[in-house]
Amino acid sequence: MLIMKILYKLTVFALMVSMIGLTSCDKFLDVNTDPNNPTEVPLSLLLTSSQSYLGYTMGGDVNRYSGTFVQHFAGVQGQAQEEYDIYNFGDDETNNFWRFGMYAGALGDASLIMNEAGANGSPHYAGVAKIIMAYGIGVMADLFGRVPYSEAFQFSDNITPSYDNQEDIYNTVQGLLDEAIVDLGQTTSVFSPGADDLVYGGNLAAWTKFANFLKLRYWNHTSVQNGAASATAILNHIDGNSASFESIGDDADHPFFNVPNSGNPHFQFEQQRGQMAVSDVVLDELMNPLNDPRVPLYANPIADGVTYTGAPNGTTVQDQPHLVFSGLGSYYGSSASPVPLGTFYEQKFIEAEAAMRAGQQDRAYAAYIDGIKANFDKLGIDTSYTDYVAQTEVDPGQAGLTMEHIMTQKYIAMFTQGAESWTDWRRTGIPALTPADNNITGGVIPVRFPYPESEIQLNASNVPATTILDPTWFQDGTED
Amino acid sequence: MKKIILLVLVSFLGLHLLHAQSVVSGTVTDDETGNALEGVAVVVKGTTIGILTDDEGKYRLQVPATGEELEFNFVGKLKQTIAINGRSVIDVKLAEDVFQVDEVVVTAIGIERGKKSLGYSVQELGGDEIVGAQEVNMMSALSGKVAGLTVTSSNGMPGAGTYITLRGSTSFLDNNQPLIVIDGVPIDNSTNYTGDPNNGARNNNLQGVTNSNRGIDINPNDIEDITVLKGPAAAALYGSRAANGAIMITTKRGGAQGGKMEVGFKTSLGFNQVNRLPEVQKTYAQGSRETYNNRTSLSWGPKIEGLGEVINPIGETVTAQAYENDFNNFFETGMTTDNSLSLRGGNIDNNFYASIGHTHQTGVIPNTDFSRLSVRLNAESKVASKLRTRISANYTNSGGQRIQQGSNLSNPLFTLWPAPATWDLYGIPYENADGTMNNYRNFFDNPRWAVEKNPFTDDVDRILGNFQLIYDPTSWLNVTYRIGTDFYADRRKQIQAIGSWEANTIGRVYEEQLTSTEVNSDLIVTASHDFGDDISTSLTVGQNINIQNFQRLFVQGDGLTIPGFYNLANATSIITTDYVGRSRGVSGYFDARASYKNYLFLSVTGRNDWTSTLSAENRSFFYHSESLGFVFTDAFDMSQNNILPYGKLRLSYARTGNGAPVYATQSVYVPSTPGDGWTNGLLFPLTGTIPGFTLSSTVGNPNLTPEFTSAVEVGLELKFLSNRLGLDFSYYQQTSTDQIFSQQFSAASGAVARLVNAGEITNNGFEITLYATPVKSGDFRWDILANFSRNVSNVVSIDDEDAISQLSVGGFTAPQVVIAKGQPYGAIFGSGYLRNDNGDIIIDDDVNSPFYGLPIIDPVNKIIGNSQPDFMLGIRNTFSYKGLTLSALLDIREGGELYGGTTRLLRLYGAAKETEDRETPQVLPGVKQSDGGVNDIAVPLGQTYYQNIISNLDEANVFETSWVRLREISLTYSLPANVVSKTPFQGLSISAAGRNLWLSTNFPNFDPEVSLTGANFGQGLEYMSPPNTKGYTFTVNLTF
Repeated sequence: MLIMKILYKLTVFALMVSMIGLTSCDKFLDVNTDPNNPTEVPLSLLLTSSQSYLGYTMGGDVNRYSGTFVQHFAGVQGQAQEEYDIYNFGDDETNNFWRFGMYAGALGDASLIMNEAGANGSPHYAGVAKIIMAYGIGVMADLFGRVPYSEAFQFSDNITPSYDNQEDIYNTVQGLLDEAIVDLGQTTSVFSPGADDLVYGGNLAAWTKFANFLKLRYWNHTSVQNGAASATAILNHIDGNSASFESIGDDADHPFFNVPNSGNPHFQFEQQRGQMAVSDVVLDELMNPLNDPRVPLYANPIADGVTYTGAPNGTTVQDQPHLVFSGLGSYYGSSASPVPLGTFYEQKFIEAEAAMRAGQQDRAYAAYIDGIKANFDKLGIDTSYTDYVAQTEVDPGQAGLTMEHIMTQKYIAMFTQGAESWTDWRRTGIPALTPADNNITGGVIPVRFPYPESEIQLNASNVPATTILDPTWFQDGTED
Repeated sequence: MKKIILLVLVSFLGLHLLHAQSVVSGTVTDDETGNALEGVAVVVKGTTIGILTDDEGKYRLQVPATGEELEFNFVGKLKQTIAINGRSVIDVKLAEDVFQVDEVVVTAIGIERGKKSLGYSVQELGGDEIVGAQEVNMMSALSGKVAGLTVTSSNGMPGAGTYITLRGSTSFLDNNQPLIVIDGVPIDNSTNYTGDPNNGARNNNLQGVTNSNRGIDINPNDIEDITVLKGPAAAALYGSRAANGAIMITTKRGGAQGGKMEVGFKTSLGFNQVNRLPEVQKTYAQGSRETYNNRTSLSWGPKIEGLGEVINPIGETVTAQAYENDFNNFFETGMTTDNSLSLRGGNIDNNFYASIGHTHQTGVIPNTDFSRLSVRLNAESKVASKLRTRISANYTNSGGQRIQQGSNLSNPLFTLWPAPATWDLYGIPYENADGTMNNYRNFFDNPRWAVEKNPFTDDVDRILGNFQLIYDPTSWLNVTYRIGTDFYADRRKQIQAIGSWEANTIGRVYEEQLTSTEVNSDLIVTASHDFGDDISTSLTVGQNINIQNFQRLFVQGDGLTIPGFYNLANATSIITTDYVGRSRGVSGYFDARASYKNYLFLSVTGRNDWTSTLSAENRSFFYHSESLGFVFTDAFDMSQNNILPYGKLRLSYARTGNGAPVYATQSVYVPSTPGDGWTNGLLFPLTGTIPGFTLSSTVGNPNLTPEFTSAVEVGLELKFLSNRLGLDFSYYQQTSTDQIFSQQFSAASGAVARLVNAGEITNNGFEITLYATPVKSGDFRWDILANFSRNVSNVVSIDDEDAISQLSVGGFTAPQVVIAKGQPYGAIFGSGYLRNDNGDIIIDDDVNSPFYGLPIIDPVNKIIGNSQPDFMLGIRNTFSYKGLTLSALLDIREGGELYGGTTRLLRLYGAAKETEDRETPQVLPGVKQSDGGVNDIAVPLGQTYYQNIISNLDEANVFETSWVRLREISLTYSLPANVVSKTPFQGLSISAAGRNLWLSTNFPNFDPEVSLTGANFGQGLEYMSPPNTKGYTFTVNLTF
């Protein structure tokens, strides 16, 4: 009897097992929905993501490479010293930020917001996303020349997007910004940014000003090719009804925090690598001789605790602990230091440059002085401003003002915003820079980034063949 | 092993007693020695009536009136069938089965079959082969013992993982390891990485600790034998999970002791030491460009001799001197103890095997260890005349303490190997009174600090359970139901003290909990039928259900405030990741077999899988295998031939499928991780409060289908001269198509990759197992066993459009391990020398160049090596005389390259011995760039050469790993039976053994048998990996 019972139970169990396997097979197997990650997220989470990728990339790789070429920084250890400071700058260095920081990061997220916000009637999100897109794609064109946009962001539908000309990208930037301004002006939007907007906390008026500021910046980038027209566009736009930045309170700053894993990219690089020092161009040539009160904010003293010494580009001295050369100071190098994306002082220098080019010396002079003042205000040292500008090297008077003055003061004020400074230098040649010692390019400072290895391998038919010594369109008028 | 196979045989016959009509008794003895044979199965032919002989070889059996013949079966002996002819006493002498024609092996799904009938290649190993390797990790013990099996240990750390492949790699991105099966139930052999899951498995493998593969939880002392199913044909019944073959482990059972209890006790003590240390220079001081500098990583300073007073890295003024800094002071002699106690008892119907084993190993690096406690019970019971049960339960607790390795700022080797000669490594305390660290450079931990302050611990509890019901309703039908579970919980904790660089000096603690559950249920029905005397057939039909659940809970706390208090409560920032992976599969399968006159064997298998990991439209897939075995010596009546009495041809074809990774069919959003290659970046939620999600950089693909491997195999088995010489040869061709892999594409599309089906990889190769007994004279015997294998893989294509030339499978940006079109699997890709069309290295001969007289680096990265060996050869020689056995295993690997990341750094830092001759002008081989003439420029090979050229030239740091090593040598003495009988013991043996005692290789500085990425498919890189070890073990084995 016992045997029969066991057999009976066994048979029933075997049948049950078969039932599970065969009759309700599909249901049993439907366990492949990812419980760990959402398949849809609200626009707010994508916006925070998009901004943080942009902010970290601008303060991170983009600034480190371009800021070294334009000699804000000099390498004192490792790859910063042995590779990009001597222009040994390969296609593997740009991989990370091209892929994960920009295209599949900040810009990928922005494109998703643009699509989604358009579909669900949230123009306010669409507008902010278009400004981020314009910002990012503009920077990429500044750095590389031709970059993908018109065929980009189609995900699996187009895995080898073609490249747009730099000039076309600049037009796209203007177009996106115009669209954004319209979107932000809509009275109804199902969803609108709020606390998820790390830069402006949902202040749409501020975003509109930022968009107008960026229009100025990008007209200015075409100064060599478009000449006077670019200056006129800038000055007219400022004079027109479009509100651009009006004070440092309008600045677009990406915040970081004094909390582990939330810190500023410059700070993290110092903390985790320490491979760069402030350059001797910034400290010893431009700032120390004029007793620039910004020095203790920009740099830290060397081992003696009082002296600020910059590192020459191309040095072979290793100085990770910054005992010989000054490391980055607290204003830009603290964990909670924001990364500036666009500032009132930059706008003033753009205005000064445009006015100078348009032959409006008085306007140029006023904007120049305002630019310096705005920078001191921003740094919180407005009390030292008077002594500093009292020096004729700083304030030569309206008649004595030259482009050299404007671009040099802009260079100093734009410290740590390497991408923009490098573009300025490539446009104007100011300040005059001496190529790094021990450079491997025969004494030529690079004028573009190499396309990343991933594009060369994965988008070979579209990626242009260039070297880091070939100027982009805004410099020489040729697209390559 | 013999006892197990016997039991199996007996089980299948389903012995039981019936009311009988006459009684037959007798004694069974060994034909050669005349000794009584215990445990011989005596069966009335055509029935399930039978019994086992007792320890005096005696049997007594009641035979029904219909019984005409008795069969006598004993493993290793030829089966005898004797007509009763009314006799009541039948004594039998059993002769040795010289050619092992009755040998039974465990095949897929746990089905036992006569080896003679197989149409594909299998190889068997006894448990003593595993134990004899003196390895804590049984996977490492397989090294050199199976033709076609590649074994790669991560390094010599306690608990280090081991990666194994059979016949090459068939899948682009799956892990490519064979399935591990214990007593018919698949178990998990994963190597789970450690660290923040958002950092990706790849990064974690480059910089975490060396993790264990979970096969390490198996107590080698429990293993009765192992059968390796090498090709797809052999493993076809397992389906997708065994696309890379299977390793079938059978554990020990009780029962053949004729009712007596056998107690076994084994104890061993082993010692381990680093087997190879790098040579460093002691002539030049810390510094750069001949200038002393006390904060640099470099030893390119001035000559120490005559340098005079300098300020040392901790600010003291001292006279510069070269400190010995003997690496042996840092490393320790590791110790391994292994104790195991086993009990075997019961009779043929009700029996058990129980064991408890404990192993503890301390490493050569201070504060590292691994231990394992294993308890096992295997029991079998006949619950009714036609129904038996088998249960097996195994509990293991394993784990230990590990250190950081690889690209990790708290890896002690980073500041040990290249420590400047002028740095007093052992004299200067690593820690100051205020708790800060002393080191000669920033950003890396002092090695002595690193091993004291940053422990990683893991603690694994694992339970393997297995329950079987075996029902034999009639002599031609068998129904088996088997359910098995594999459960483990792995708790890990990483501490990084305040001051340690890997945690940015702010301190970190993380806790990780992994749990894994797998359940397998198999219902198997086998029916057999003979058609006349010549044709035998059988059909097995089965059904399998597989359930796998995996969970990872990771909590990282950064920014500790109280020194020495390592609890998450002490952190100022917490990051949490919660991952669950679930998959299920349902399968139906069959195996139809037919044989003709016991010399021609045909087998056809088929299996249909339904898997949860593919979409409903694609989840069902079928595959099949056909195999043929032809014993031509029987067919052509050659078995009496003295020279070649046994020969068999094998032929098989198989096609197996492989499903997709979990959750690959959909696109998801993941927490954002802004960062760059240089910093840790941001982790969301930012500040612990601000959330951010981004589209996963790899987008899903709902249209994925299974990947397939098809294989053709031919084989030949020959046994010569009374089996004094034997050969087993296999040749195979495998083609794997529709690879599922993450196809990288232009990031300008908005994502960087998607999973696709594409690509083709082939593996062709051959394996030869050769054994010989050159001398067998009286008590002396010399046996040789050699295993040779060669596998050539070729990546035929990667994507259907042929747009992708290569895929990264591991490593850094450069160098990395890639799958490249037209190359063998696992090519090493990185920067190489610029060469002319002849392949000559081009030398910079521009006198104004800083690199005048030095090689030029090709600006375009290329394939610079391959990790796959050309061939592998293991040769074991065994000499035995009476109770004394001397055995040595020589392991030879030819070809295959490894990126020597440590050697590169030692050169870059100016620490390597080869950098000592830095002032003599030398002419490097090559041709001049300007005119192509032979280089004649003599320049000193100093800092510029090593730092600017060699360290950036990955090709210059890729070295051939070819080696010859004495993997095992052992001397064992077993007390003769007549001596043992005077003791309380049944058996007593002692042995002394050495592991890895001798190594010959051209690989510089280290033993090349290491792998940075551990038990992972991206082999070919070494980067500050812990060194390998050699060891000595002394063992005493007692049974009573």
